[in-house]
Amino acid sequence: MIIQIDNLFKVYRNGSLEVTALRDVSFSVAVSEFVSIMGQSGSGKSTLMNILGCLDTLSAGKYHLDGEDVSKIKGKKLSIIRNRKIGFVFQAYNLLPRLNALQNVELPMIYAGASAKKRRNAALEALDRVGLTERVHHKPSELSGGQKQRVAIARALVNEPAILLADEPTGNLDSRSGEEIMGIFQRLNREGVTIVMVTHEPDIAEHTKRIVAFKDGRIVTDELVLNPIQVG
Amino acid sequence: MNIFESITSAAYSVFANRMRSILTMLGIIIGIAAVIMITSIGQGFQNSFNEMFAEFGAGTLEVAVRHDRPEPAARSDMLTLESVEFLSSHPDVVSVTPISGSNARVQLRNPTENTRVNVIGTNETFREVQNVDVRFGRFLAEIDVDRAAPVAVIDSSLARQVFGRTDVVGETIRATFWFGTIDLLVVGVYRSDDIMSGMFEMPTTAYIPITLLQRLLNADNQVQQIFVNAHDLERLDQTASEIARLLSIFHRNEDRYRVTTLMSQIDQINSMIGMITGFVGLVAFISLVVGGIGVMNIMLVTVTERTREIGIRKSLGATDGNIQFQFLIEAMILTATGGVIGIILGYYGGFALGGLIDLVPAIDVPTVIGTVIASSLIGIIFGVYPARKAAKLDPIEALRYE
Repeated sequence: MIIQIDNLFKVYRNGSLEVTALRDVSFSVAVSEFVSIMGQSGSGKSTLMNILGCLDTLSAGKYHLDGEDVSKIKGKKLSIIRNRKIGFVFQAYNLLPRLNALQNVELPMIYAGASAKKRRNAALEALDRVGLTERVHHKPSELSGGQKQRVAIARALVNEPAILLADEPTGNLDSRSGEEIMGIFQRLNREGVTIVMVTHEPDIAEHTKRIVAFKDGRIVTDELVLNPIQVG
Repeated sequence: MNIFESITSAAYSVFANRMRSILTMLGIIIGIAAVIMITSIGQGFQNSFNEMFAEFGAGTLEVAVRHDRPEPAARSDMLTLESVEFLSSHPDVVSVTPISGSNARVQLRNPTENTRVNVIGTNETFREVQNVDVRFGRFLAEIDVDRAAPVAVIDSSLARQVFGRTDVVGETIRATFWFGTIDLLVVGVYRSDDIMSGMFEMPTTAYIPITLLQRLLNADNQVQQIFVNAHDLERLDQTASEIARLLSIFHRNEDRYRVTTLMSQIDQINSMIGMITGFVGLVAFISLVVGGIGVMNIMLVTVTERTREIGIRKSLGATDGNIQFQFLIEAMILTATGGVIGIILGYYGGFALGGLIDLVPAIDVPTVIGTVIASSLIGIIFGVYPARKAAKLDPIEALRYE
């Protein structure tokens, strides 16, 4: 299993007010799965993504990522896990505006301590994998939404993480660009990349192989998609 | 992430905000330039002062009666021309110069007007102790002293006041002391190069034979001070204590004389200049600290502005240390660049200011190195807080920041 979650609780304390965002969630993702997590806002899906991405800590339960128990890990070690094991794709792309596409993709490798030459080669390869061979020296402001998201996916892939976490990756895109991005995810998945994606659009979720639905901090359904919509 | 990459990336971001960076640096630039300028002018002043005394006074000892002893000085303890004679026979001594001072009023061209003049009674060796730039006639001679001749060497500005010209050798001036009036024959006119008398309305100085002054003051044989010029500069301190000891034997008393080197007095003045320079430098340093606070302020703004960037970097695996280092380097680039510009401006500013007051500023390497270190340290000190603030940001909150 890439992801193994057992009896996960997440409680936020705001003064005297306690909010339980996730209650007793158990859930696992195997190698080469392509999972969408669905739910309305406040269902706990974003909290789960933050925990899966090692950006947030859990209140109770166990989380094993790629065989390693990361439930109690904090600080610098957690940063290293984020760097090596996780690739993030955000709704708003989250590229650094002052860096060009290539430099943005190189960023995770800089923190991994790779040499300049190795970084450049890996970044060009990752950009190639998402179908972006031109405009790699352009700044994000000079790229279209779909191109920006491709750069973001390349950046998520560059350190060859155990899992790709995508948070509403098509949310800011028109339907055609959204389709393109889903096509890239499907191709990467066929190449063996494990992907967990949050979305609230059923059409988009139908492109994945499995849909996990959340409501009020609990899993309500966890079903395989019989005939995923194939792009291309 | 290696240091070289951190520096280029930080330099890039400093450059991206050119106007803001320059304004932020301005505080550091002004502070550093002020420190460099003030210390170089102070050092230059010290140098020119030392040069002035290097020629005269290096081997000079000043002898005076100590008045800080419990029993008051007796009449027999006073320095006299016999003491001068006695010291002259010492093998280590080049010349011995007695000095007594008084003052008089000298009648001007209009007989109802007069001006105050310092009168120094001395002998022909006075010029070993202090430079007297005689322009007309001569300085006091041995024969004047032997005969207690009524002659004087006067300042050219006094000559101008009394006669309306400076070439006045052979003329007579009428000097009134508190005990009476005497006519003095002008045998020499000198030009004072004293900076102070040019700046302030100070009385001029006239030199007359010590013997004449003693007679006028009814002071028997007494002299107020004795200056001794010694052969061996290396042994100046030993010579000084030896002279004090010999004089006590000569006058049959104990530990009654203080013999100081002019050098030690020069050192005192030097340390005073140093103190003034240090104090003004401290004020300049305070402005440097204010500049540092400016850097901190702008760095805090930068951190807030770039909250989202920090969140992105953290989500990609940047550690707190990476983030802290990035902002610290940026602060240091601001202050170090400001420091270098400040040093250059301070250097040329020192020469510009020195040109106005006719002084060659002196910039020493330790000061420059010190200010470079200081400006970098200020970068670290005032950069740490914003950098830590950046490093401690919660990545989830930071990613949500608009």
